[in-house]
Order: sequence, then structure tokens, then C-alpha cells
Amino acid sequence: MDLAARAFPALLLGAVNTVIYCVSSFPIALLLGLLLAVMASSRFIWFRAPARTFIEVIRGTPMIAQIFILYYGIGALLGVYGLAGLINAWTAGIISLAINYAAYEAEIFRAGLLSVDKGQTEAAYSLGLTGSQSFFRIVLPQAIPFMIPPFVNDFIYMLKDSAIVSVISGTELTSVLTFWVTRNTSDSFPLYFIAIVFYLLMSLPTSYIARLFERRLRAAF
Amino acid sequence: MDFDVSQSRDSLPSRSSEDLLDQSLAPTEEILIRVSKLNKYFGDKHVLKDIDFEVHRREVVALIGPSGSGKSTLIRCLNALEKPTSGEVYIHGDRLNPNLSLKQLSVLRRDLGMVFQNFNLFPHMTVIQNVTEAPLLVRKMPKDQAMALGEELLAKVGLSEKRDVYPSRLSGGQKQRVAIARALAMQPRALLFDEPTSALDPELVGEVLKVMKDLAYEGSTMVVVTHEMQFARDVSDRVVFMSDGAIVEQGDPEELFRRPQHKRTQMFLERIMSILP
Repeated sequence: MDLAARAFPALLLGAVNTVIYCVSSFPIALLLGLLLAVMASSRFIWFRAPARTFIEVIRGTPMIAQIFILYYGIGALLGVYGLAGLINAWTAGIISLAINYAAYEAEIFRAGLLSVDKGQTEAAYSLGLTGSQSFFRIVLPQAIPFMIPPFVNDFIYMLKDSAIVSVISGTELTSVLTFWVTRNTSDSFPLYFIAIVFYLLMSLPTSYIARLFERRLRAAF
Repeated sequence: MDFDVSQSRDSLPSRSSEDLLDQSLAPTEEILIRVSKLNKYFGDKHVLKDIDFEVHRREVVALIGPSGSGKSTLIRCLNALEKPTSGEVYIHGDRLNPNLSLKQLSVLRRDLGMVFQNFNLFPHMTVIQNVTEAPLLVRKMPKDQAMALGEELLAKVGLSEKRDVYPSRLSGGQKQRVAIARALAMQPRALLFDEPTSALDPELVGEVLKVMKDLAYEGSTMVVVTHEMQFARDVSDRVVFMSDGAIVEQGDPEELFRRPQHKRTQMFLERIMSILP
């Protein structure tokens, strides 16, 4: 029990860092994902092709490789211009998570947008709305309630996936846990227990709030 | 174009005798919509064949014909929801060029209101929001003015008490009446109806047709794709019969229904009239 008390502050800090990583990268992933989805649905090949390529390459390659390339590769490149300070565990971690998840969120956006009946866009156009007006006022608001469950799914995945930043010396809940477990292999059960409780404390409220939000949005129609 | 009210319109109770004398609501010579040499292919399928077609201001035109004859495609070409393969569409003198940007098209589309078979109301907005969305967003109308207009139009279609309800709570007939109010809110030069009653339960068709009749009597310009032959006969100024992507015959409703000139028109009318009471 003594070990648990000693490890608790470190694990708490790790959990806070996990939250910071995810809360900063997920919104970026959503925005980038929306942009990719719109580009991927474009009639114009020079929008569509880069978006599709990005999505397929990012989805098709391991995140650990992406994070290494960003941290060491881009880091070295920026070093040439004396900007190496820009890339640290925080920035590289947040950017890799955002880029990686953007590829997945893009497909969720695309599916959500496709689920809105074509007649909605036609009605908007027939009233004289422009393309962007009909997208932001008519199509997107109808797609969002359907996209919330998969978004939440991915956010919860990210809470755990963010452990990958430990490979570039980022500190978060899993890396703190590993640190303590390797030093207390015979008595690691309480450490795991605390970490699991922390993960649940992060994911359960997320699911709850999301369901509430989804229900309110859906109640209307 | 003659506007012979004595023949077709006197049987309708909603029109008073004073209105009957009001010739100012008769179709004018002014051409509002002009289609020339319009062709449309879907892949290899030739769905519109050299269509020449005009709609005058204040005219009510009914487009009838068997399904698959191209009526809906034609009406959708009028506001560029379909792009013609060749030929021209002019709305009030402006060419609806298929190469226009979406933004330029949106300006031309404001002149034409469209009512769809499946209503296409915006489900995430209340009835009043559905009606006021375009005036607010497109016309940049001040909010109080848009609200007043919306309420006036809802009163016109008899749905004032539904103003704050979401479309999912409405019957099909009510939805279509809201859709008509929404189209009217942009104060278009003409209204296009694409089978407005085809998705309705039979007992709800009447309420929508009544609103459309009222609009017709107020002198609105309307193009109506319909299977409601009674409506075409009683309300329209001109009936256009289409078959296999071509206009086979058109003219005065009474004349066309009583003495169709073409074999195909005769066959169609026989088939469709035999199931009418």
C-alpha cells in the first residue's frame, strides 16, 4: 500500500499529461479530418488525390514510424535552420497523434456526410444557398449526431494510444506506470489498479457527456 | 395565350366570381422560362430529346406523362439540379449556363422556387426556421422582417400553429405545405413542383392541392409535374404531355383531355382515366 501512495502523485501527473496530449490533438485531428473529408469528396482530382493519398499513407503505416520520422527526421531538418527547439516530445507527440487520427476521422466525416440525403443539398441549392452555406448550415449539422459515437470511440482509443509518445520520451500515464512497474515487479498489482482507475475516470465521463450531447442533438429530429 | 376561365375554373369553390373577372391575373405574353433544343443523356440513355418549351408569366403549366418520360428531369434542368447535355435554359432572360460556378448558379436559382416529391425539409430546423433560413442567409433579410414573412407564409398554408415544431412531427401533407411556404419565402418568379403529391397518403393530397390552387389563382407562375389529372385539368392553363423524353402534345387542358391528338396521349389518358372515378 505504501508503494501505491508513493506512486500515486506520479501516476496522477501521467494521467494529466495523457489528458493534455489528447485534448490538444483530438480537436486538431477533427479539423484536419473535416478538411480531408471535404477534399476527398471533391469533384476535382487535385483536391481528391492528395487527400486520398494522405489518408491511405497515414492509415497504412505504423504510428510509431510516423512519430519517429516527425521527432528525429523533421527535428533534424528544422535543426538545420536552428529551429530544433520547436520539436520536443510534446509538439511531436501532439502533431503525430493529430495527423494519425485525422486520417481516421476523415473517413468518419465522409461516411457521416454521405448519410445525409442528397435531397437536402438540392433543397438548399434550390433556395439559392451557396455551396458552403448548404454545407455548413444544412448538411454538416445533420451529419454530426451520427458521427459523435465513432468520434468518441476514437477519442477513447486515443487516450490509450497516446502511450506511444513514450518512445520519444514523452511522459504520460502508461509510461509512468511502466517506470514504476519495472522497479517494483513483485508488487505491481496496485500500480496497475490505479492506472486502470485513472483510464476509466478519463473515458467514462467522455462517453457520458457525449451520449448526453448526442441525445440532445438527436431529440430534435 | 387565351385565358379561358369559364371553361375550367368555374367549378372550383375557392374562387369568387369577382376574381373570375380579374383578367390581370391571366398569363402574360412575357416569357419567364425558355428552354430550347434541350437534350439530356444519363450515360447512353437519351432522357430528354430536343425539348423546346416556354413558360409565360402567371401561367400554370402541368407536365404529365408516364413515369420515365423525362418530366422530372426536365423540371430539374430548369434550376440546374440536372445539367443538360446540350441546349439552353433561360430564366427571365438569363442563360442558365452549365459552366457557371455554384455561386453564380445560386443567384439564378433564387428566381425559382422548387417543391420536391419527398419534401426535403431540413429536419434539424423548426418549421419557422425552415421557412426563414433562405431569406436570412441568402437575402440577408433582417431577422424581424424574415420572421414576419415566415409567419405570414405559414398562415397562408394554414400551419401557423406549427411554427415551432420540427418536421418529424408533421404529416406528409403538412410537410409539403411547409415546403411550399419555404419556397415562397424567397419570393421567386416561378414555382417548380416535382410530383408534389406523389409521396402523400391519398387523404392528404387534397390539402396540398388546395394550397397550390390558391397560388395559381393569385397569378403565380407554376410548372407542375403531376399525376393528378383532375388538378392538371382544372387548374392549369396549359398541359404538356411528355413521353419517351419528348413533348408529344400540349395545349389547353380541356381540349387535350377531351380530344387528344396523338395516339400516345390517347393511350396514356385512357389508361389513367380508367382508374379515376
